Amino acid sequence: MIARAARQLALVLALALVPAVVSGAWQLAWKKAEPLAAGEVRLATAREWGARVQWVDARSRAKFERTRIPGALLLNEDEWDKLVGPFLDAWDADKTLVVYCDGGSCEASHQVAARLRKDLMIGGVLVLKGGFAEWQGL
Amino acid sequence: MAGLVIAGLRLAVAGVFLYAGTLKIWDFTHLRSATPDFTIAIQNFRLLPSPDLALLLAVYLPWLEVTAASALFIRRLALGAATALLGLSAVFLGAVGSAWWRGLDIACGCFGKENAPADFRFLLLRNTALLAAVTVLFLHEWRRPSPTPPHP
Amino acid sequence: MHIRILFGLATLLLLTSHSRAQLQWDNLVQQFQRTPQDEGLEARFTFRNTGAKAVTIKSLRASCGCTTPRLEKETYVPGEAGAVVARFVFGDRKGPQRKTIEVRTDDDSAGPVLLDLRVLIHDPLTIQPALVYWKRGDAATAKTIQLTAEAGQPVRIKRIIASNPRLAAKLETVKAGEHYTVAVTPTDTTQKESGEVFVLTDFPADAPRTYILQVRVK
Repeated sequence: MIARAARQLALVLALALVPAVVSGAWQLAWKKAEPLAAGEVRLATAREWGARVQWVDARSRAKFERTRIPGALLLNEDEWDKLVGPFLDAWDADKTLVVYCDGGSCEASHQVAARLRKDLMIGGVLVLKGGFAEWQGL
Repeated sequence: MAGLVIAGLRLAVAGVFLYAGTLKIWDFTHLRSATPDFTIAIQNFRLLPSPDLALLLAVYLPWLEVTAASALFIRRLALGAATALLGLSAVFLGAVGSAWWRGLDIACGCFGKENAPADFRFLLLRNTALLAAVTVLFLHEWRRPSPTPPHP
Repeated sequence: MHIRILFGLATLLLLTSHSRAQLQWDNLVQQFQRTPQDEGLEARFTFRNTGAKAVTIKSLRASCGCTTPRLEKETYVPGEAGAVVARFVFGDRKGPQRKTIEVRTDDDSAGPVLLDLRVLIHDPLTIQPALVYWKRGDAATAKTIQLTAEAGQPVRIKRIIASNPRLAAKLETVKAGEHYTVAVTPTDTTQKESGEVFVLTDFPADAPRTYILQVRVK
């Protein structure tokens, strides 16, 4: 009885694996095809740059404290005036700044990047395409 | 009479899981994959140690729901399917209960704030009813004699 | 035979009972002008149910966590009016802002409705740039920051204070109330430095603002 249940369960679990693997692979392949906008960078590219990248987190403090890209500095528009001083103290002018927020339709990373470029006149600022969601492998 | 009830339950349970599973695979409103949204939804429950695990589950679970729901109608797989759905229902109920207990906000899609927080009582009630229906089906399949011929 | 008639009737009923439910919005786009002193604002997006069926608003989703929408109730009978109140907390935002709220009802035959809230958070003093920096080893020459008040709103700079003595700052008045420059000169660029220049102004009269310029040697 139990053996029958176990055998059938294993079969159902295995059958479900087939479309899941196909679906997962298709999604990964399709993601790579999305075009980049000006000032954006793909995660794979940013990863290649390794230690040359300084990650900038444009999300809320609550999200930043919960989880973030390791080594990221918090700089968001809610607390810009308070955060910009400490950010610039930690900032290494030889590194490329890559700004991220949630991903999807989140605009915060673009807005923080624009402020870094326009207000502070820091060059070479990029926005991570796909945001934090991309980092988490979505 | 009992046969009609079982048939009705089978149809209803299969329908629910088929519908729910499909929605977690494809976002019909925006015509795109629903996996990123489902991955975030799983992460909101804060039960898994790594985001990679959440992604794997987000890809696999919906297909398990769809496969098991379909397999309910195949005699040789019905017991396995009911077992899988029993496990899924129990896990979903446990996850919602755990989130409710810890006061988590699981409605936030994290791209903005929703107006109303998740209605936990409704979710718990719905998942309990589902678990009950699946349990009845499981017990029916468990007690059903095996269709394979006896050993010589 | 009877079953077929019943089935036909049921289908007919199902199709016709889907009468058009509708919320008519007075203003889908609202524009405001505010200053950085303002903490935020609330915009009311009013609507009325001009359809034949009661409408229930199922979800409100804002494009940003800084904007929170709220509703007094969820269901509106035909003829009833209501409003979505959007509260936008500015934080330290400046310039043109656009926040949207996606409204979903139980009748989404035309898709979700997008409420558009546009605010120009307008600072009368423009500072370009807000940061000057040198890399270690660079020539320790002066770098200049332009402070410009917009036409029609004079902003006078009373004085400036440099927080780091090794990063000296000098204020020049190009045209009082309209255009100033701050020249920053590091003593040298042999080591990392961090400092700020506080710019004290006379505007607005009731709570004069102090701007902060960032200075670094990296």
